[in-house]
Amino acid sequence: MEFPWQYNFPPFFTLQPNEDTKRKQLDAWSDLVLAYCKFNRIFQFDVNEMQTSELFSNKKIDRKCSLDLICVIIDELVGRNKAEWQMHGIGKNSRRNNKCFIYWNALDEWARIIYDYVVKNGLQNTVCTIYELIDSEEVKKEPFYRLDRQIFLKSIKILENSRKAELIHLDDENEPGIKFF
Amino acid sequence: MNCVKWSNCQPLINEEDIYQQAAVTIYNLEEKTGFQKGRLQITSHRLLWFDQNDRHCVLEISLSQIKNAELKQMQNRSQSSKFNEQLFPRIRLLLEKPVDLKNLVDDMSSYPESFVFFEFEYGGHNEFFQVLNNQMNRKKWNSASDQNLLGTKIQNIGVSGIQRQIQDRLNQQDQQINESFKDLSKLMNQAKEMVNLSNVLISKINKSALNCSENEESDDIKKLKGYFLNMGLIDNPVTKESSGSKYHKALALEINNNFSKIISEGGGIMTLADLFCRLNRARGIAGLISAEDLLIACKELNKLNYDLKYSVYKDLNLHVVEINSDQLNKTNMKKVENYVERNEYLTPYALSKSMSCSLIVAKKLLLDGEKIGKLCRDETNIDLRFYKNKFLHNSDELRI
Repeated sequence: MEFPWQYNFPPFFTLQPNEDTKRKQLDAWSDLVLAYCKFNRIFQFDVNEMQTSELFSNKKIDRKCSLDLICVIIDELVGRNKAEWQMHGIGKNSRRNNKCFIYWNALDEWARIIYDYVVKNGLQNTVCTIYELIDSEEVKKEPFYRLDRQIFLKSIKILENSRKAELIHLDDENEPGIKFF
Repeated sequence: MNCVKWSNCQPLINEEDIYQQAAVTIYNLEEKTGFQKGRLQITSHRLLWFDQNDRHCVLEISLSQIKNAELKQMQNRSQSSKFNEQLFPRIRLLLEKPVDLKNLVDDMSSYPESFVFFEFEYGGHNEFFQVLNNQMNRKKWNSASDQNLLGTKIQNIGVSGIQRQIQDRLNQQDQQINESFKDLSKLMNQAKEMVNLSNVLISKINKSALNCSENEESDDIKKLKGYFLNMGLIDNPVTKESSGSKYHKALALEINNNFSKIISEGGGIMTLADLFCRLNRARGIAGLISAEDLLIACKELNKLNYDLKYSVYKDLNLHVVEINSDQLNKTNMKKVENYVERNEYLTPYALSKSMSCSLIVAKKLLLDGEKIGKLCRDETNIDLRFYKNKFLHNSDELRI
């Protein structure tokens, strides 16, 4: 994949105090992170682990993002519905942990893409397994091939809310099936 | 003068209490006097006898007037005549002059003998005799060096001793300070010569400038002028005496006249600390100014709308005097941009070198550049670098 020119510009790895400059910087970072994750089909990552990756550290110019900067970038992506912090615990006690989902396609986009596929292939009113939809040979050429399970289920939730799909729990051992409308 | 006299009990200088014994009776020769069973006290200077019943009745004998002393142990009763009967041990003193106790007390019979006896009813005569001899050998009353030596020892006792010690220390410090200022005054004298020399040079320059009429100043003089300007040597520095209530205004004018050029050459800004040092150096010994006076004078600058103005940069906690013109900021920024263009990046240190301004002023210029979006920063563990702000001023053609 091709990195933008900013990647080799040392100030790119320092959060800029000037607001205008910061905006441009974060725009560039958002694009880069999404492009990188899409290219490498990364759906979620741990911030600490990712810090040492090629994405956030440029060995050629000897610069790497601080954890703070990475968090600012993720927050920026969250604001654009392109990322989501994973939570630890339930309800009031839930805390943000260091992991995040990266939605290089936003969740509703994923939902739309999946539903389009279903409609195109006449799968409405039949119950499909998750395996069939994202892991089988038939969907190999679809963008959601090998989609992260958690992201897939979140997308189905969106379809459920608009009454286009329904999760069918057969039993506790197996994954639920999905019926599209 | 009588050797035995009334005493007022006032201690003498350097007098030292040594020993005392109660129940001592004074005999004039063999005859018992009216001075009975009193307290006999020996000091370094004299013998004092205190009456037991009347505290105003005190006799004294200067030790210096005692020729010799002799201890007379108790005599065996059988051997002694009745007249000479001695019940208790005595100390006999031979005095310089005949003792005439009659002068002291009217009803005493007079004896033209220079003997006086002390009878020790309760004993203690051996110790007393020893002490008496010691003191008479010591002769403290006329030994000056001894006095000093022992004097300090005595003085160090009690509250007054502490006070004296403090006083001594203060005296010592005073002396030291005086000595060190002797050196300084020598230095001042030499500095005065230097200032005079430079004043002579200045007046010569002025003269030669007049002589050479227009543009024919020699290189040497030009150079010299440059040095003087750089040192900011000031003629007739403003003093509180010369300007009175307008002191700070006059000082402001002096700063303005002497520093405008220097400051405009050094990035247009000078920190107040730098100005303080340079101004005081330039004024030399003629009159150093205080930091507070400088601050007031700098604030005065702003009221007068001169070439210079005083500003405070709160984010850097920096007080400066800077050129009062927007033009300068623009040219400074142009300079900074040029440097960045040429060098890829700039550190405050590098900029301060190339613009010959102080480090903090250089940093201030760079931060200004960042604020208006001309520069962006690269913060590493090693240093803070500033790059041209390619985020804002770059087309996407630059893709790598």
